[in-house]
Amino acid sequence: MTNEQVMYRRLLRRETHAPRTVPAVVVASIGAVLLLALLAGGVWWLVDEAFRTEAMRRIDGVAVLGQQQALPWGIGAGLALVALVLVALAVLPGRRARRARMTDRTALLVDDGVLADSVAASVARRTGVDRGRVSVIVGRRSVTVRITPTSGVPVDPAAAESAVVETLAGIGFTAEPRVVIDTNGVVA
Amino acid sequence: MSGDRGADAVEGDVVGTTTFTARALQRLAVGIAHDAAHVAVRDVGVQLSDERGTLRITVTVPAAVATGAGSNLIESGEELRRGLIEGMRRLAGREVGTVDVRYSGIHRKREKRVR
Amino acid sequence: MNATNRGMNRVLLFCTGAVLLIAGAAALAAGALSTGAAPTWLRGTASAAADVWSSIAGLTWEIPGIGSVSVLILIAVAALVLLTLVLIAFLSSRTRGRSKTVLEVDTPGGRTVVDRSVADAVLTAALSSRPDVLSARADAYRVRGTRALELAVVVQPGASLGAVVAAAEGAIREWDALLGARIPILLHLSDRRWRDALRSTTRVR
Repeated sequence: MTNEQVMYRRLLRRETHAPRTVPAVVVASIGAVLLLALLAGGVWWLVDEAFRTEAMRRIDGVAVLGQQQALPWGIGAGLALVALVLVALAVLPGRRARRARMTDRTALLVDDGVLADSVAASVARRTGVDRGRVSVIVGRRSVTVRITPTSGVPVDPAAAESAVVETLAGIGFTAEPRVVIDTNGVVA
Repeated sequence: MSGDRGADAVEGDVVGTTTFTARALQRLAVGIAHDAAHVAVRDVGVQLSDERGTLRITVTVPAAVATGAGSNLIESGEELRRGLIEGMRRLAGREVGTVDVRYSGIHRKREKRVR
Repeated sequence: MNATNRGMNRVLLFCTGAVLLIAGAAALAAGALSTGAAPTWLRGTASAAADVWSSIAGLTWEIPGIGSVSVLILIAVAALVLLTLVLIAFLSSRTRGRSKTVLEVDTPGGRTVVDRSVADAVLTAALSSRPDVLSARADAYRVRGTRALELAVVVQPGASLGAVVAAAEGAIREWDALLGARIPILLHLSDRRWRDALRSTTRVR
């Protein structure tokens, strides 16, 4: 595998998965603020006598509270919940709504929304249905097309399917086409 | 500013000094670059500095895009570099040690029509 | 596209999650212990932990000038400072990774640099003027040492994607010839963003 291909593979893997930048920055910011507050508090503790006595009093009060049952349970459950969310974010791949492949020169990345638009337009053209009556959902491995026919004008599902396959093949992707034609049409 | 004297001055030649102001040197470099890069004078940016005794030129030009096949930017960068080194030596007697070329923006060469 | 180290994001999230999980488990254990109905294994581990804690808490270190300081406090302060620095370093490393230059070649005579504006002009000119393209944009990034370009194209709704890709590849060929070097290019057919919502989709020629 050439250098360029290795680079493209890495690039496309990055681009098709969620970066997790926002949660990481939020966590890091909160952490940094808390730690700085602790450090500042620690310095103040060493320096100021009045602060020390006041803080000791508060901590004793919290310790008394902590002896009650509800508080440790509540805090424990809350922390565990947040922890699970963070670990899930870290471990789950978080696939983005994009499709990617390598061509001989470039790495091609297509957002699913663009694909959906294109498929809908092509299905509308091929089946003679108004563009507004065609809705497309692009999934991981399949593309679902939902058509609301005009009353009295039958819609050929095979034509819709072939439109889907051709539109995708036009840029080198494949997916299983699923066509749903509403039983109830619209008059005009 | 400096003065220099022809290396092989002969008896009977008129003696004198040729001085270049920094501004004149800059204008000269701009002119040479304009020639070598085939772009308008006003698109050329030149900065002169000293680099351990030799001259260091940083030149910023738009990339010349010819509609036909032409040389590529790396090659024309070399050409520009050579042109500046040669030109400054020949016209001003200055030794240029380093030329940094920066391509920024483009300049589409239009084919001139012969009327 | 950006060039930040995304792996670090996940590592941070995982580590924070792990720490919070341990803290949460400890809090739950404390709650269970205080009820008195805690299972024996929990009480056993809790008393063992308490023993370890009391043996460490007694340790002190002689610091000239201040006197003896509890080792625990020292460790805690050092950990706090280290952690804060790590977090701040992490935050400042979250840049976008955009580069102003597309190519840098060092030769014995000097350095030749090609600005992003050249790539933008060459690549987007051919595409923006097409009726089936709403907008095109070229950005340069530096990913793990290599410079790469992202050519993002927003297509008119209903346009033929194959035609746009072919046109983009043509522009890229022209760019390759101009540059004289082959750099990695990401061709991204992207959704319409808010900026494009302001652009009219009717083009008059």
